Amino acid sequence: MKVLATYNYKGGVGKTATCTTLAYLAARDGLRTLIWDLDSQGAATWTFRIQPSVGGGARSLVRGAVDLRAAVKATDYENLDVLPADTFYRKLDIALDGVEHSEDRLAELLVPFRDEYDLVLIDTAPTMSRVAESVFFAADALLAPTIPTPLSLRTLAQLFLHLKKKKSPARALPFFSLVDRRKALHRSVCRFAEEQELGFLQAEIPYSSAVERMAVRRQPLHVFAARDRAARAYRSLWEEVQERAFRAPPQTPPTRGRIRALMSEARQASG
Amino acid sequence: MTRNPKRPRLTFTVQPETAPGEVLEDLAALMPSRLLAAADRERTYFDTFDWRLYRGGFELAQTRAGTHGELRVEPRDGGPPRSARSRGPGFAWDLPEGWLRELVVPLARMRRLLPRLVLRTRATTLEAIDAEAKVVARVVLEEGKACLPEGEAWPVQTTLRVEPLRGYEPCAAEVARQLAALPGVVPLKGSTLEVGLRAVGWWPGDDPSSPASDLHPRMRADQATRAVLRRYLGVIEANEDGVLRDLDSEFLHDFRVATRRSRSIVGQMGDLLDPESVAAGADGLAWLGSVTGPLRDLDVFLLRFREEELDPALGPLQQHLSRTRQRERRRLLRALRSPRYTELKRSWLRELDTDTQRADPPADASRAIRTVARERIARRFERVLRRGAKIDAGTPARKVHRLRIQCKKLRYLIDAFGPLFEPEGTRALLKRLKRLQDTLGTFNDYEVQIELLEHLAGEMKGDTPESARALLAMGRWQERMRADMVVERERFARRFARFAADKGVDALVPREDDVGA
Repeated sequence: MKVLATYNYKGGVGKTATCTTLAYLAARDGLRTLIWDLDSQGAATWTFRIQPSVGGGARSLVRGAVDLRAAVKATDYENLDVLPADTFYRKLDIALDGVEHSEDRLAELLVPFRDEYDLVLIDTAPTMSRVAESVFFAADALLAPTIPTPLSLRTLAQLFLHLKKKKSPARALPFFSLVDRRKALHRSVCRFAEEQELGFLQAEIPYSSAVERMAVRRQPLHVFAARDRAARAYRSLWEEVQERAFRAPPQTPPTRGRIRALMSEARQASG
Repeated sequence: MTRNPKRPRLTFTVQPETAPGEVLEDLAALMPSRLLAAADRERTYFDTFDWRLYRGGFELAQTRAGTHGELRVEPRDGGPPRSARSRGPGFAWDLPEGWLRELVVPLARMRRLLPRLVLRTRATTLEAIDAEAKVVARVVLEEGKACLPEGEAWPVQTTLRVEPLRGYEPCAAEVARQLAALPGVVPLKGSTLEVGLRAVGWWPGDDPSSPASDLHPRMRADQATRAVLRRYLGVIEANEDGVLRDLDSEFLHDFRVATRRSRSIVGQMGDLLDPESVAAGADGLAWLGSVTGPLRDLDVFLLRFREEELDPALGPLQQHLSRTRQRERRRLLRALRSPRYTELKRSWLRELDTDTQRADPPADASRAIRTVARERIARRFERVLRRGAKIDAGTPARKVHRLRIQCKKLRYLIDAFGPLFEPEGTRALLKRLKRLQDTLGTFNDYEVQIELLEHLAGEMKGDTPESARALLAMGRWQERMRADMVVERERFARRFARFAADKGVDALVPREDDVGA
């Protein structure tokens, strides 16, 4: 079982859209896929029209006293299930506080799913918290959607530094999302990332109103707009993620020097 | 494998006077739902020649999904089906990596997955939805035809299947309850595959290489012997096409087993039949055994490469074996296409179908088969005990080999005539015998393979670093097998002691339902 997580400290960058879309594509490819909607806002759960309820509470979950398998719901799509969001996820951080080796807890909670699913996609809330740290240790790779702006790059640099500091085994796979190539700034930030070899995936997700419509239609993008350019871009992203996250040897993460260049570029651009 | 009784019944059909479409409309009126447009479905069910997936509790169907093929596994206990994108299956080990391969390989092993049934239907789906318009259960109505590959199409029974979704099982149970209560709806026994096969007059699960017994204890011994040999000829013929097309190694294996069984029964019971015909048949069967042997030996070797983690340095040996196999296969094809083979089958069948008794029949020919078979099994059993008692750590391999042959003869007699006795006793006797045979068989396989490696080493040139490494690895392999032969001898001593201490032939008691026979 492979575990991917969508993560970015910034909100509104396309984490949930990426999570639901890649999960749908994986399921369509025949992978038994589970989305764990770990964001208490429950946007992924909402997209699939599922009630956001797991039952129990944050402390019970952390203690392993909640039967997560019983909380799983099938979506309308074959091979794709959801472990729904719950409002108590807001308190997970407090529940993890003081727990020994709290960074391993989420990985341990996923153990019962090992033989049932080929892929778990975790949709993470935009916080730098103990929960996020635990995700960094549960996931094989972190998909970090990044809007091509200096501030987003700065946030990404912080993520790189954090992963380094915590010695997280997860591969960070940043990619550009909500890209508007008509904007000079977007173009220049994309160019900068390429020049600095920051390990961005090739696929970039263009801004598309179809992606926003997912929350209105409450369906994965490919169900109602398979030919949209964002849908095509997500298809490329999925191909690339499989290669980079599961097959290719891990790439060397950016050095501190590159991360400093990233921070400084972001400072100059925003100053 | 039957439906899990804890799961509610989810499969139904409609009585002839009921319009299936109206049933769906009636059901739709009872719950929030949406009716999807009808769609054509074509499914090809795959399984091995001997139905290994079906007997293992699964059905595997290939469907078309866009430009991709899709393989769908349906558990026969009513569990949720799963699909994976894949091209048509050949061997299980060629399936793409993942859960499907992990599921199918241990069941199918070396057998090829063959198309067994094609189902063409028109499917209409009713989705039961909740307040959020989320699907909570599906009801699929299917009407259409089924055919065997390249066979005639026959109408299948209309089916109405409730498909549950994880986390919403109570909804599916409720939908099924409401469906069952509708007029004209009746429960349907069997899976989609079973319903389809029923339509074309087949039933899945039968192993064509293990034909059912049709013997009666009071049958004349000569007639019963002919009946047994006829069945074995049937097995030979059933596997012939698979051997000719080289579908998988087991066709040849079963072909050879049926040939050996025939030879063994001819040897042990042939005195009851016409001596001239028996002599000709025995000659022909011996020839058939000899022309199929070399290819089978190579298959056994090549299968070890598939199923064991052998030294990677043996790669050149594997290639050499594959090339040699091609040559042997051509030789076998020539034999099976020869007039001699055609004539052998024809004359052997004629002899077995003739019910005339020989001019000077021995007394046993007219006695009841159960009595004669029991006497002969007892005689063979005594011989096995006598020979086995003489085997110790220093006994030469050829004597172990002779004991193996005696055990085989005993096994074939029990296989052929065991069904005339109480199954429990027969099973117990066979179980001990099989364990003994396994040890003797493994011992013999090692001996044959060591010898074959010796021969192949002579054929292979050690002129490249790879082939030199392969020759060294072959030497190491031979040494390992010699060490394993010592282990098998020790195992033999233990198993033989258990076999000899058992009830023996006393385990063979007449079936209660025909004691008076």
